[in-house]
Amino acid sequence: MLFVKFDKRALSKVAAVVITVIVIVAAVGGYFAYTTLFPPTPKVTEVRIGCPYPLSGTAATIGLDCKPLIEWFVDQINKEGGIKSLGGAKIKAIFADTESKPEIARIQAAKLITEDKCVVLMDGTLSGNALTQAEECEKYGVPIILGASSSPTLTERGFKYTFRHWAHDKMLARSLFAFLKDLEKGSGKKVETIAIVTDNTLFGVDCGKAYKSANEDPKIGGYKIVEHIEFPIGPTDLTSEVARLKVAKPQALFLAVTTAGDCILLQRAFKKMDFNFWALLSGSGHHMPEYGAIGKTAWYAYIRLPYGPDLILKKTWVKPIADKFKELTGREFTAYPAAAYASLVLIRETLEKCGSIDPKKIRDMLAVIDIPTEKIPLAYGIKFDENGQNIYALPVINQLQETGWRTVWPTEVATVKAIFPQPTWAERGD
Amino acid sequence: MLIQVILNAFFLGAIYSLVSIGLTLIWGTMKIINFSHGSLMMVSMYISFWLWFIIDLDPLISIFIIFPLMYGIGYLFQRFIVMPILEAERHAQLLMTFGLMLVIKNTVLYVWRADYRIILPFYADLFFRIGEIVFDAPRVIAFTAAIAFSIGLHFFMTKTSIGMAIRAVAQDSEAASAMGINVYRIYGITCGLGTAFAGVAGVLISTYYPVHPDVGTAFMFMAFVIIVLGSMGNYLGAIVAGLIIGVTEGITAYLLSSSLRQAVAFIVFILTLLLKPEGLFRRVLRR
Repeated sequence: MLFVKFDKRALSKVAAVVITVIVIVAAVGGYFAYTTLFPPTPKVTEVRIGCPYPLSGTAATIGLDCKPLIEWFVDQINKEGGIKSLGGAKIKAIFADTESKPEIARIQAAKLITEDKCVVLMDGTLSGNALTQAEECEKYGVPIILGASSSPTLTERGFKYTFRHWAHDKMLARSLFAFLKDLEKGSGKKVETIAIVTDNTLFGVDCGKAYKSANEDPKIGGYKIVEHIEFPIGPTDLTSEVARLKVAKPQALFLAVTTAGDCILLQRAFKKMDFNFWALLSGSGHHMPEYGAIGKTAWYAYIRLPYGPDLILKKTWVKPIADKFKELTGREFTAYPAAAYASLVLIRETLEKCGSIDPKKIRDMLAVIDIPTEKIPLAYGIKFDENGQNIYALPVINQLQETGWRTVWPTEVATVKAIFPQPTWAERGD
Repeated sequence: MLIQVILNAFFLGAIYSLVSIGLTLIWGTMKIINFSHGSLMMVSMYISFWLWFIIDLDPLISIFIIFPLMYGIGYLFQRFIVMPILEAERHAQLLMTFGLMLVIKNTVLYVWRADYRIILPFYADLFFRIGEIVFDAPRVIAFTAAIAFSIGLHFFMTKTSIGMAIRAVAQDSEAASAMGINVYRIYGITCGLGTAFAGVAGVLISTYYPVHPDVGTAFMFMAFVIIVLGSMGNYLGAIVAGLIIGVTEGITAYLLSSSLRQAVAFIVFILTLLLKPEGLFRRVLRR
């Protein structure tokens, strides 16, 4: 038999060490087991918003207008504490130049998602660009907010990640036709013939279809379409097209022209060729500040917008934003920057309510959010239907008069009376 | 109305001719296709605009400043950009001028943004009528000036020693060198002249067309068609081809559809080349 003599004090020391080691191992093992079973949520410090805007090319004016405003507003949000439900996470806007081209827009959207790790994208310019960007967002499961892209196609493809707070061309077209009917009633003058003039972009072509479709509704349409012209964007000359219009003699023109440059070419050609009509109803382009640079020649055009510059008179809180925009860019606060601002308000509200940077959760919150018009510089609030279209979208009609762009319709928000029919070129004495 | 359309198209064609003359001159002597030609035209439009905006200088007067200025720019372009790549592979030359086009366009975009600028000289809205036909002052002036410059160029090319030297170099640079002509100097003069003509075209266009960083693209697109149609290197051919393309576009847009204006112009172009691959006129600059 082997007798082992133990020293009681040594034994207690060994026991203490063994017990300590066991406790440490248990603690560490328990921690790893816990974190494996219940992984901790990493703290969010930054929320990346992708802004694939045209900063060069035919639509560069839009992107270059919106960029400083977006950067300023993001800065304001961050100074106010960032997204509070995300522990004060800061917003970072990451811009990518789409060059006003759809395929570049697609590449840039993909880059913003895959390389820059943006959790939501916002755009509000060309429908052609929005089309390809939305496809990339749908593929990667990242929501995109569209501010000013009005092609109906964008919310008719069953995409779950596309959200547009602007009205689409079918709604906008119907509003222009309804407005023309109201003009007829108010003036007692009956319009029999119209012409449709668009450029050949996706926006122009879709608008042309929307005008034809609205005209088929006997309540608001029923006019004879005497001419339908679709010209290539950025032409060297439009006098031949105006000659066709002059021969056709429409009383009202429905236009969808993307760039201010083409609007100017057309309007000056109307004047030079003494082509007179009662109303020019425009889908875009005419509200850009450059159009007004041609002076009286530009007057009396109507345009449908989600934002009228004189809306400031009714929403006084918009004035400091408009002043800031003027300070940043030297230009007037128009529909595109207003739409961009609204998109940012929407994103901020969504992130606050959602409390997550998971694009799927952001998307789910966008699908149910309801923002009242008081919070955004548009004539309406924001709530999306199952296709991602804002059900509250309501276009207002502005007319360019001597005092600038004024809201003339609907009557509930009108600030002045519409001038209809517009004076002839001879009567204008210009 | 058709007569009005043809008249307007003729005016447009004259502008196309002026844009194309510079391009074909440069090709004729140096065998380089200058993709930056449209961008240089655009720069001259901006200079015209700023001279009008800042010191109220009428564009037609500013031609006397812009012509020598663009000549100088063209000369420097030849000296520092073209010369180093004159013996390079053709694709390197094309890429160089294409890259220069992008640099110029994006620099202008950065400095002056993308806003459309409008020049409104006192005659901007002037027009007169003969019967039902309207004559728009800026276009009439642009057309007249384009024809005048074209006649001046023809006189220069046929009656002056430098003009004859340019034609000699275009025909055969080695033989011209053997005859004692400083070929590299002629290259510089030709490049300067070609760019100056782009400048004049830009100024004339700016009297009625909005100025924008992308404006050169629209005119350059047809200019390439015109120089091939008019036989590359043949400035007289460029003048005639410009008028043909302008009228074809205008009549197509009026009688058929605006969407087809360029398509029909290209069909005319392709058919002409199928029948006469060297273009409508002979390649060589001739009296």
